[in-house]
Amino acid sequence: MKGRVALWWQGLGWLRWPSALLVLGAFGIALAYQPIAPGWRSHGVREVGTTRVELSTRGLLRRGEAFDVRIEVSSDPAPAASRAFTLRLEGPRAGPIELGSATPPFERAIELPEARTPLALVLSTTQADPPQHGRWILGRAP
Amino acid sequence: MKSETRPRPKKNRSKSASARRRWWFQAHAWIGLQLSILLGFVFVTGTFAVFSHEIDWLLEPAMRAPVAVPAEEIAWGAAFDAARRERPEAAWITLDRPVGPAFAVQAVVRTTWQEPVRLWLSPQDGQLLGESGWMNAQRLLRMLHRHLMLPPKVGVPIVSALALPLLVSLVSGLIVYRKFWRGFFRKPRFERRARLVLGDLHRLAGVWGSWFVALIALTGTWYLVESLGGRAPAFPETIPPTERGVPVPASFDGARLDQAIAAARRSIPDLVVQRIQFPDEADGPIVVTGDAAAVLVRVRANRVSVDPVTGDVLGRTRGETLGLHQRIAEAADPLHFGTFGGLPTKLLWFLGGLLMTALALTGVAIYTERVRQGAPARLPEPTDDLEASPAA
Repeated sequence: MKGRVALWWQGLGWLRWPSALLVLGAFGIALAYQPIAPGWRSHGVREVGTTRVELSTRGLLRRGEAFDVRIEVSSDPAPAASRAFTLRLEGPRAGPIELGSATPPFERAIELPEARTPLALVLSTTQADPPQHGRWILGRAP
Repeated sequence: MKSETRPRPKKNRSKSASARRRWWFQAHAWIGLQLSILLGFVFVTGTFAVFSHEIDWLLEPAMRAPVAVPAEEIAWGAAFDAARRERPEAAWITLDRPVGPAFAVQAVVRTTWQEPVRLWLSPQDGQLLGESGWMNAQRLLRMLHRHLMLPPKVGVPIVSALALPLLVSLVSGLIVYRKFWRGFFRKPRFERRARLVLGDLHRLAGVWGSWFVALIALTGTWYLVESLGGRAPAFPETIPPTERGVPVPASFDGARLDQAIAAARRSIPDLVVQRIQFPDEADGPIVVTGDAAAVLVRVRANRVSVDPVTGDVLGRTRGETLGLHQRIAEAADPLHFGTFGGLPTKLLWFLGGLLMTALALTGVAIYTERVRQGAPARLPEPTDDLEASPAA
């Protein structure tokens, strides 16, 4: 059988490599396929205290899997700041986000969906009293 | 005098016919061998794509309906409400009739992170049966077969261009196999050496599968024409729907959907709803599509556009009113997929796909067997094998 395959491969001629590349490439892409475009998806802007925060995500939001988050912060007179980081959809987990001295620090938390509640990401300022929150409903993660 | 000069031209004609036949044979063998990887891959993926929904049904329990319901009695509104309760934030794409009696209703929605998700719902009462991701066997086989997972603009012309060598292969095979019509019931000579047996099987599969190869090659050629800009004209424009801020207003619920479907059925009384397509923009209508009187058309050929705010019918198209160009475009899919006659035609198309795959494999096996027996590794000359009878 091995010998026959070798004979066939030798007989294929110059089209063998483009053909094999197309077929193997198709398998490779199928394995790595994600049904959404690779870019950032904005989930909107929230006012967190005196700060405007835009939250974007990249990738599929699947329980137990990692996805990218980017927050863009702007507050007058402070200049805009942006920070991207990776979160994993498991929780509840919280953690600080430092954006530099020009903008206030944030705490972030993920609200995983329960029976009828959606997935949400919450950012809170740690400087305000009482603390201010921005909540983005991301939908229901599978 | 006249009779003396006759034999020479006859001999020349015979020589010339033989040379032509040799040329066709070389073309047949070259195409079969050089394109064996691509053709074989497209044949295999296309064959299994015929039953891709059934493969998914076996793999995904949520797709299995607890009760089979006639198409006219599907609880569309209840299914819409149940899906919206589960995914209130998602954007609606489609709601589909079950593919078969044991299948669930399918809702496709898009999450806020732009992932398409499938929700499976009972056709009897709309109860949510489960949820699955966008990628499944049907999508995988379709994308592999149709455009090799490449962007469709690149992949579709590559795959559909294979229809041209396939046509040449079919024609050359029938030219080279003299009196092929006698080959339908010619038993393979299993007692002879492997190369002859393979040749007999190749020819037998060829004559039985020739109509199917012709059909697939012709519809494939049509897909090539479409991919190169020969698309049929779009369906007629409808009256613009009521202006609103979102594609599907929050007030639109299952009851409104049932009203929209009833309005569509009043507009096309014999419409058996297959798909409800929701607008992706704030100025689009809800489009109810399905089967009606026209044969060999996609379900989208029978369509009624409904205003999602007022429930008014904004326009309709019936398959039988389409022009020739549109009818050709609409007929290509049912003919290529074998879906127009339900399970019997799907089974026939699956067998046809197996025959085509067998042709590709036996063709390659004939070549390797020949080279293994010491023949040079160039394409062979046509031999008497091609017209051999069982007695030979």
